[in-house]
Amino acid sequence: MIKIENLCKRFGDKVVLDNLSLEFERGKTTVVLGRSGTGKSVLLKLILRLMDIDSGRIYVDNIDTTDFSELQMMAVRKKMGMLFQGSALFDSMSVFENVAYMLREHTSLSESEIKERVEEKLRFVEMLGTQDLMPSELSGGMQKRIALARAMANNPDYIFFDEPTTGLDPITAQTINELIKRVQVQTHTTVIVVTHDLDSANFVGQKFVLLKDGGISFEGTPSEFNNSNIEFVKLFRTGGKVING
Amino acid sequence: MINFNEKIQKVLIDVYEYFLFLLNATRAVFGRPLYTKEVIEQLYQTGYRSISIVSLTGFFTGMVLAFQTGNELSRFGAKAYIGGVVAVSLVRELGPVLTALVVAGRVGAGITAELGSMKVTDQIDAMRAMATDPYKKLVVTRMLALLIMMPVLTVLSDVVGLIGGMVIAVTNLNVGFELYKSTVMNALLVEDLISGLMKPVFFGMLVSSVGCFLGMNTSGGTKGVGSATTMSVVISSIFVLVLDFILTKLTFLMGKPI
Ligand SMILES: Nc1ncnc2c1ncn2[C@@H]1O[C@H](COP(=O)(O)OP(=O)(O)O)[C@@H](O)[C@H]1O
Ligand SMILES: [Mg+2]
Repeated sequence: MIKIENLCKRFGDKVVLDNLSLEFERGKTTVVLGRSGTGKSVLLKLILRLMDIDSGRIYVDNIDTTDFSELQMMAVRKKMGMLFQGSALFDSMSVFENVAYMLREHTSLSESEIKERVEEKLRFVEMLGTQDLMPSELSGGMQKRIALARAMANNPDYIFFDEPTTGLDPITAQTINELIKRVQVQTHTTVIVVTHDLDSANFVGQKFVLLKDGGISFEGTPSEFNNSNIEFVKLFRTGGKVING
Repeated sequence: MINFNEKIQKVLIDVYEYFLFLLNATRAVFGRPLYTKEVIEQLYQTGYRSISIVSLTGFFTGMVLAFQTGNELSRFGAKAYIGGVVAVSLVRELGPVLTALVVAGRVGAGITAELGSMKVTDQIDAMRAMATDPYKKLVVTRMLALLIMMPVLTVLSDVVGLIGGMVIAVTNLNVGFELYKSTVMNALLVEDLISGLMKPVFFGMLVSSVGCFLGMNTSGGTKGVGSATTMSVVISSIFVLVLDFILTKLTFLMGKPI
């Protein structure tokens, strides 16, 4: 479980997160929605402490990590996998080496055990056989899959997806959605999906959080979200289009 | 004028962050893990792959040096000393400085471009998210490699430069090989060799740290990578020259004969 208390983050005088409090329940998929630039990526980066917190507290598995040093955070990060918006695969390494990265860095698995694990993860994302390709030889959707395999390689307790379907065609997007669901169903990982894609959110989400102006504008189940009468939720659902009723 | 003040402030902040970066990198040298495999890879990338361009630079510098000074020396009937002049100029100054400038253009720029593109495509963040210290994995490995390789490349450049000078001395100035060799040997003092080897150590630190610093702090997409790379070459080159002056001054202060 990840618990966030009164989290604040600003860049210069621009306030991005303003006293945000939020809980991500164990084994559930929480979708964080919000317009572009509301600080969804910043929120994930703060949980991983890829940037510094201004104020507030972050608990991971009931441990307060707020004042952790970079070295202490390393241990926390090993429990987490992150899928970056642009996949962020290491472009100087093959697919195999990308997926094997965490295993080589942090485990003492033998070469054959690593090979086995990499194949297992590639099979999970249906990309077996691409081991020797370089990331630049893959399409955007395939890169996402490899990035997911890489994030899962060390069997993390948490997986974060930053806009996993943005920039993909609807069919590829749906295959990614199905993968996210499979992660949750098969591995019972705690999943956070950050997105502004409502179709994706409705397909994978068990809990919705809608961010606005650095705070929470809605928090609840998908069906509560879809029936909510909060103005901003309605606006976000329809994109401002007037629906005939 | 307000703009000017702001610029100075920004430069001071950059300088401060550069030294903070140096401190972090130094700290990262100690403690595990040490990425031996990566260091070896970088030794190959920065060292081995610079051999041809450094040799070429050294060779032509040696030839030009012998040619220019040879003609002057002839006027005083002193062309027999050509080997000594070439040796002292090369080992003390031209070898270290020209090698550093070439390496700044080839390796320093490469480091900034590589780390910069990793930065703007989130690969550095991905590395941290996977519990790796990018200072250890990327910065320290490159700095160590250049620290080792810069002196090696400089010695190579010196030697090839002496050979270049010899070619001109023998073919153009009618100074025999034996005479050339003995004037080279007589001219070089231990102090020359020490200062000629000490300079590249500092230059190696300078070029690699500036390259890494600018790469790790790149922002603004592909365009940012381009300007960071240009900046890396410009800053490294200028400070190689400045540092060369300071180090030369220091060696003279410490009582080295002219
Ligand atoms: N490293 C940074 N430096 C300065 N501003 C940043 C940085 N990262 C994000 N921001 C700003 O914070 C805001 C939120 O960004 P982000 O979390 O990326 O939005 P999104 O919800 O689209 O993912 C944006 O206005 C962005 O400009
Ligand atoms: Mg984002």
